[in-house]
Amino acid sequence: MIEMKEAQVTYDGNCGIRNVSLCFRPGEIIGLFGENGAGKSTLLNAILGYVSLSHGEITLDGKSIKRKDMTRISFATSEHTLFPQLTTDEHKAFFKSFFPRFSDERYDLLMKFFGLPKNKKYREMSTGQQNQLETIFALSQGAEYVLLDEPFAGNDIFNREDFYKVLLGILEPTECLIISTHLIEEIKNFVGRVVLLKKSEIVGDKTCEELDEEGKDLISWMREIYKYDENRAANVIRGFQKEKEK
Amino acid sequence: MSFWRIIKSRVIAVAAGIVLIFISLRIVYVNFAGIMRIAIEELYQFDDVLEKLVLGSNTIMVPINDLLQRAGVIPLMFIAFFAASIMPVIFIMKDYYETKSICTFMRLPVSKTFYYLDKLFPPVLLLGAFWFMLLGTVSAMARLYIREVPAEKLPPDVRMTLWRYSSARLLYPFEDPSHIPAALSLIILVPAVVILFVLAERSKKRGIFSGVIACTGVAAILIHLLNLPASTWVVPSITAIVLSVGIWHINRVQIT
Repeated sequence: MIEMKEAQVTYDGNCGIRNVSLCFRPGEIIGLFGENGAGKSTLLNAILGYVSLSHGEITLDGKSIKRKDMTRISFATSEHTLFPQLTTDEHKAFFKSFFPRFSDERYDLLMKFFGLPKNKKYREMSTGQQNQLETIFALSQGAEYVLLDEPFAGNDIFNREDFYKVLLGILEPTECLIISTHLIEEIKNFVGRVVLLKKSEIVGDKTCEELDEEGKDLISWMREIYKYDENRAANVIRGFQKEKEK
Repeated sequence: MSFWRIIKSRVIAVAAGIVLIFISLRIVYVNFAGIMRIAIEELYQFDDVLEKLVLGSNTIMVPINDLLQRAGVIPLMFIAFFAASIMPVIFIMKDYYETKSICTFMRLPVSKTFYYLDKLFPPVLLLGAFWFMLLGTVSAMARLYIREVPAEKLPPDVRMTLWRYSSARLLYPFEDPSHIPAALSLIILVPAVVILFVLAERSKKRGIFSGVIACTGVAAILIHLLNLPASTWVVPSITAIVLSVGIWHINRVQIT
C-alpha cells in the first residue's frame, strides 16, 4: 500500500500539494481529477521522488520508498520521458534489464493493440504514439502500482475508449492503477475510486460504491465539490449581449 | 544493445575528442619544430673569413619553455579543458530538452550515482587521454630540442627547465612531486565542478549549497593555476568534496 501522510511539496514558496493524506491499495483503480495546477502531477511526482517533500512522508508498505522499490512502481506521462535515439524494441530490452518482472505477453498485446512499429525510433514517432509507448512500458514493467499522468494526450477517442476496455481485461486483481486526467466522462465507468484536488489540497475522496449509496453520480458530485456554477456560461453570454446592445 | 545505444553518443564524443587532441598535438609539435629550427638558424652568423655560416659567439638558444609557449601548448591545454567541461553540460541538458529522459533515468531501480558517473566518466577519460598524449608530445619536443640544438648552444638542464619553469608544470609537476596529486586531481575536479554547477542550476533554490561547493572548486582550480603552495592539499581535498557533494546532490536533491 502506498500511503501519503500530510505530504506537502513547496515550489519557491508556493504549495504544489498541501497536507495530502491518502492511501492507494492493491487492486484499486483511482481517478485523480482537478483543474490545471491543482497538484495532480505533483502528487504523482512526489510518489516517484521526482519532487522532494517539504513536510510529511510517503511510504510503501509502511517503509519509505527506496530505489529498489521502483520495480514496484511504474509511471507514464505525456511529457515524453523515453530515449529519443532508441527504437521500441531497444526500449523493451532496456526496461527488461532493469525490471525483472517485465511482462512480454502484456507488452506484445498492447503493441498489437496500438499497432506501434517495433523498429521505429522514439523521436520519429508521433506525439500520440510516444504517449502510447510510455503507457505500454508502464503497464508492462510488472509494477504493482501504475501511475499514469495524462497518458492519452494526442490520442483519438476510439483509441482511448478501446484502451480502457483492454486494460480492464488485462489488469491483475492486485494491480493498483492511478490515472490523472481531465477526461472525466471517459473514465467515469472505469475507475473505482475518485480523488478530487483543488488548489493543492484534497477536496474529495470517494469510491464509486459510496457515491452509489449516496445516490450521486460522479459528475454531479464533482460539480458539488467544485461549487460549479451552472449559470456561468449563460451569465457570460447575457453580459456580452447587454454590452452589445449598449 | 540498448545500453550501447544510450552511451553511444558519449563514446563517440570521447573517441572524436581523442582524435582531435591527437591532430592538435601533431600541429603543435610541427609548429614547435618549425619555430625551433628558425631559432637554431638564428644562432648562426656569416663568417667573412671562412665565407660560411658558423655559430655566433654572442648568440644564445631560445629556452625550450619559450618555444613551447610560442608553439601554442597553453591555448591547447585550455581548449582541451574547456571542451571536456562542455561535454557533461551537453549530455545532461540533452536529457532535459530533447525529451525528458532524465525522468526515466531517475526512476530506475538502481542508484542515481550511476547517472552521475555516466556523465563524469567521459570528460575524465578525455582529459586523462589528453594528459598522457600531451606528456608524450612534450617529451618528444624535449628530445627533438636536445637532438637538434648544437651542443655548444644547448642550454644546461633542458629537462629541468621544461618541467620546472614552463607552463607544462601545471599538469606535470615532476620537479616537485608534492604537486602531482593536485595536477592529477585537476583532471577530475574540472568536469566535477561543471557537473555540480549544472545540477545546482537544475535544482534552483535547493541547489544553493551545491553551487557554493562548486564555487570552492573554481577557487581550488585558480589556486592550482597560480601554483600556490597550498594547492598540494587544497586541490585533492576539494576534488573529494566536490565529488561527494555531486553524488549526494544527485541522490538527495530534486533535479527533475
